[in-house]
Amino acid sequence: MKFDLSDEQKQMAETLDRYFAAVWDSQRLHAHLAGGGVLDRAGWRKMSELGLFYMVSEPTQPGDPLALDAAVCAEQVGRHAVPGPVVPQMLAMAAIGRLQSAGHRDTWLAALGSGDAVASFAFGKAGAPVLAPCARDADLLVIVDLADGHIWVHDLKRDGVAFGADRNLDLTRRASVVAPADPPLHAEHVPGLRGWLRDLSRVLVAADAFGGASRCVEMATDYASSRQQFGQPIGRFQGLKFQIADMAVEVEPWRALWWYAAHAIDVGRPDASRMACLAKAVITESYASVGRRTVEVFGGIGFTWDADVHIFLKRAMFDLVWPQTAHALYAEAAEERALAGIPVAGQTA
Amino acid sequence: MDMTFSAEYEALRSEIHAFLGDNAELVAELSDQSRTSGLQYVPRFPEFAALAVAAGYYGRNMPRRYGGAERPYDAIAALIIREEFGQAGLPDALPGMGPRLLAPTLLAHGNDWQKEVFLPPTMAMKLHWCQGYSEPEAGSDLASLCTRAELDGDEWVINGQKVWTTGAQHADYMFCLCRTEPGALRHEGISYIIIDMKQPGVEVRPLRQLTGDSEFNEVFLTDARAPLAHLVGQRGAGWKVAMTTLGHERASMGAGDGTYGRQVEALWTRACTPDADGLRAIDDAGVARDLCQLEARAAANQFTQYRILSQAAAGQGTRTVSIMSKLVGSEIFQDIARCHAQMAATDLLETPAGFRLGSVPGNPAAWNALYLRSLGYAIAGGTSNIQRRLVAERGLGLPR
Ligand SMILES: Cc1cc2nc3c(=O)[nH]c(=O)nc-3n(C[C@H](O)[C@H](O)[C@H](O)COP(=O)(O)OP(=O)(O)OC[C@H]3O[C@@H](n4cnc5c(N)ncnc54)[C@H](O)[C@@H]3O)c2cc1C
Repeated sequence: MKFDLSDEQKQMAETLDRYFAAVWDSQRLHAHLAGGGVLDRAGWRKMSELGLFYMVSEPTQPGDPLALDAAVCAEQVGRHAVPGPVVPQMLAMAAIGRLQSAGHRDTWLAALGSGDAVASFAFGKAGAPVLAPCARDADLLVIVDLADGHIWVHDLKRDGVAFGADRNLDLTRRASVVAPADPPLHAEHVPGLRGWLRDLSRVLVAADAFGGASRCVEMATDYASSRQQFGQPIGRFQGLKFQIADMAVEVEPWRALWWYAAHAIDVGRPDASRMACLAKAVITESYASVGRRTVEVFGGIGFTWDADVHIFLKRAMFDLVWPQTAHALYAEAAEERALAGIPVAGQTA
Repeated sequence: MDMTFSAEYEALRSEIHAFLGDNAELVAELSDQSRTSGLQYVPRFPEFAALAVAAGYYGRNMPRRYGGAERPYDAIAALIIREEFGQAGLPDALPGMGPRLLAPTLLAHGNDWQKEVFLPPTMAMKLHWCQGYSEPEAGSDLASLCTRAELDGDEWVINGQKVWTTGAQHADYMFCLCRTEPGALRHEGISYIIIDMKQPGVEVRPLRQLTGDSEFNEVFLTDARAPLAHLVGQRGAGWKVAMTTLGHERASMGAGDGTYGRQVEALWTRACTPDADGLRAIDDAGVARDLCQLEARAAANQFTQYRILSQAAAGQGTRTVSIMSKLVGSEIFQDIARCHAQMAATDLLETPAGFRLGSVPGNPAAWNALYLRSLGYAIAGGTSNIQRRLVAERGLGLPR
């Protein structure tokens, strides 16, 4: 029994933390917004050197800490609001890496893993448009049908791809509604993959949201310790102090929840899907809530475009609805429990 | 990350199962959900306590010569005991102010005589204790207490009033904070003194709580006497001594024994049960959402306890999360109460009765008792606002 990250995972988190802090500081993030949120391809290639995208692409032994490794990375991505489809690209590679027919599999993996290519990812149905993160930047789009387990790989750079409504609220991951052009580059039915991808997507977004939410608490704490009003740091005023304490108390316990959910996926615990579903719903809701409260802590400056807070708030809004809304996840978890019904008298307390 | 238990610990788990099975009749009597509170007052509890100490489950960090089991520190064994005993509706350690609060304090600050005299009967559940800290004018601001103790030869003479003193009506002794050094700075003039409750100078008046029960009391001390030897730690060092106890009190209030998870499971069952008109609460999206959130929070709380234990076992601190435990736990508890109230309809008007902390209510009266008791939980041992202050200042480092 050791409910903690391994030394390697801690080291990986530290490395990413340091790298992202240097590369995606406030100035660079704002420059990215000023550029309209267009993905910086050179930066993407550079980031690939961290081995990030490969995190879940290789089928491995049951019990290997794949989901937890990837989630530990996603936390750092969220913590630094790293622009680009990092989680979608991980998921795309997770799907492609498990295609049965070799085909272009290894070529795609090499291109994506080295950052030469960019992938988006969505759950959807054959022929129906999907909401795809960073679709305008992406070369490939992987669509997974959660109902029947079909996987399609689409070329987004070919003629005939229809880009519908742009959803550009979160400029670190602007999304578009896309109708890919048929035929797909590849179509395959991979048994047993859809549930894993669904759970994995939820845990990774939950970890991203946790990273962002805990960063908001830190930003609020730091600002409250330095900003002076009435001749003292505003963090000395109990009203504000308690607001920040409540934010911390809402966020910090979630760390153990996404750790557990990721680990449960890796070792195949029976409650893995349920915990992934709940973790995604509650942590993204907390992120949005804490993001809003952080704006208030900052006062007027918090309401400006030039402050960092709105970048995180908008990532929270993205995480809240992608790939499913918290509302849908609650309905799913409640329905599952309703189907399990009422335990036979005497069997449970 | 590894959530499996080595063979050694799996063996401990089966051993506990066997232990609880061998004593099934006694366990059933003690874990009776309808009994209101104070397991330590149940006549057959000392019998069970002795068995559990002898088996090495209770009193683990208390030396054998003081009536403990004297086991090496083992966070994982403690976790297994907590889960298995919790599952059986039993506490994970000897209950009551004596074993929980006084014993660790004496172990840390008491002299040999005090340990020899007080610890064995306390661990054997033969002595009952109460905590004399709060006063009418000293609650959250405990250091403003003004009960006085003056030396008269080799005896302390104590005058003052304590309040909210849980279990004073059953207690043999009170561990009491008194001011002994007039003129000293607030925190430096306080001493920790053990007072015999069965003497003419001690008057206990039970207070009726909003639950209808009387667990806490007013205690009037009028020329009450205590031998000089009942001073624990140095004169004037009582604040430090008392803080040991408070740390233990809060640490034991996070409910990492799975109680919240079991209570939430009972809420789900309730939500799935159709009412007279065939309607189910679970079909209300608001209720479903509340239940999902509670399930997630109870699970997160449980896993956070694992995290704290694992990091403690590896000798690493988890300061901020540990400081949060009481506040997180009491908020989950209150929201469990609110969630049930939401579904209870007119059952909410049942006279509250028959709920014990750590149990799963089995009927509307017990749920109502939980609804009310969860309020006391957020006040006792340091109110939620005081916890917020600790989280902000000691955890996050916000300016004082
Ligand atoms: C069920 C129960 C059992 C108890 N058992 C015992 C016992 O056995 N022995 C014992 O000694 N005591 C016991 N207590 C007392 C308990 O420790 C005190 O009630 C508690 O410390 C609060 O003190 P108070 O009641 O004087 O409230 P106050 O301190 O007057 O607090 C009233 C309100 O003001 C808030 N407040 C106070 N100071 C601050 C601040 N600085 N910043 C922000 N908000 C503040 C509090 O949070 C609270 O909401 C028990 C209490 C309860 C409810």
